[in-house]
Amino acid sequence: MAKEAANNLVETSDYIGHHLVNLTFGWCEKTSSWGFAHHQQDLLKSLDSACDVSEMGFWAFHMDTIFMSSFLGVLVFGFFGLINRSAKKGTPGKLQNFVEFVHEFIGSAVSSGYHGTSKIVAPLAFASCLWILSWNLMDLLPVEMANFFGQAGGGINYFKVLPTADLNAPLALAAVVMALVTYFSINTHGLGGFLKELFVVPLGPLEFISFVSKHVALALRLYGNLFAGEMIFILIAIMFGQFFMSFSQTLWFLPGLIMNLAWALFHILIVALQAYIFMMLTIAYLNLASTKH
Amino acid sequence: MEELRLVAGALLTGLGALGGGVGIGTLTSKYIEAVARQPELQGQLFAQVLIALGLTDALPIISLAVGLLFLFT
Repeated sequence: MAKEAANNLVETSDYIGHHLVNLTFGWCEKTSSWGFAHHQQDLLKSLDSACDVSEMGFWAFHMDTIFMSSFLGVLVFGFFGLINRSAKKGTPGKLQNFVEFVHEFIGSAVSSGYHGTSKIVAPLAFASCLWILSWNLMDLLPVEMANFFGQAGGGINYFKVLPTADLNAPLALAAVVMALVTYFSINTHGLGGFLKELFVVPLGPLEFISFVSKHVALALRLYGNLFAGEMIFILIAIMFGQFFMSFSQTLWFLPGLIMNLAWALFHILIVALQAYIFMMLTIAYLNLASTKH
Repeated sequence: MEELRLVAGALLTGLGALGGGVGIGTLTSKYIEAVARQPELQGQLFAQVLIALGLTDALPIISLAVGLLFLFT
């Protein structure tokens, strides 16, 4: 009995571990060549390297994150660009109505939150909100789907559809925001003023620490929320997956469906809210950076 | 060491939820008080409450995610 339980635990860790590994393309020290991590894909035999993900070191690219994020970017902004281009005067159609609603929603958020003169803030808010929203929505796809289609369609064994559950993607977004905040601050206060603001304050370098940590927190907030949501989907899948193996098969389909549905419905709130919060905080930080005080 | 890791995961998940619960409770009760006092402000306040909820929610959720990592990997 105890041994069975231990086996179950090992299988559980394996299953979760499998869902937390990205499809990695990187530099392998052992063979001095580029390639996908060992046994992660059977599609291109020549690109299968001898190294595992943990042995790849610095030059490891998460191909699934890169692919999914750029694919979703092209999809979302292509859609909006097409509708914008074909916009007509007179009575708008349904799609044009929707696009105008989104533009107005984000425009009102920007005009209420940002009081500077820069023209980059509204497009930035638009892009970050919609791009992150489209990433986050991938969390609502079934956890097993990417693996199922990947294995059926040519042997991609590891694929994470959710770019926000990989810390690199949110950190990249936060790094862009940090660079812009630095640029805006230097623009308004001058280089000396900016450095003085960071280091010469009553509490010494605390201001600098808060400057860095607020941008790291911006990334971690997005990542943590989506990662925890994904994890709970995986845990629900495990719970009923184990029942599938041991008890009568079809009986446990229904409670699994209900639990997944309940969490998905609650998770939609988080999905949209996190995209909105990222946008609002970006606007607020840029506003702070571009006001004189 | 194995047991310590499990305890660490459980503490992360539980204590994070404790703090988050107090924070969200305080936030929502203040919001309801404010709306009861000035119902016409509800629209403006609701957006800000949602943002603050998301900010408060983030910390327990991050600790939940790290705790789950500790428990299951």
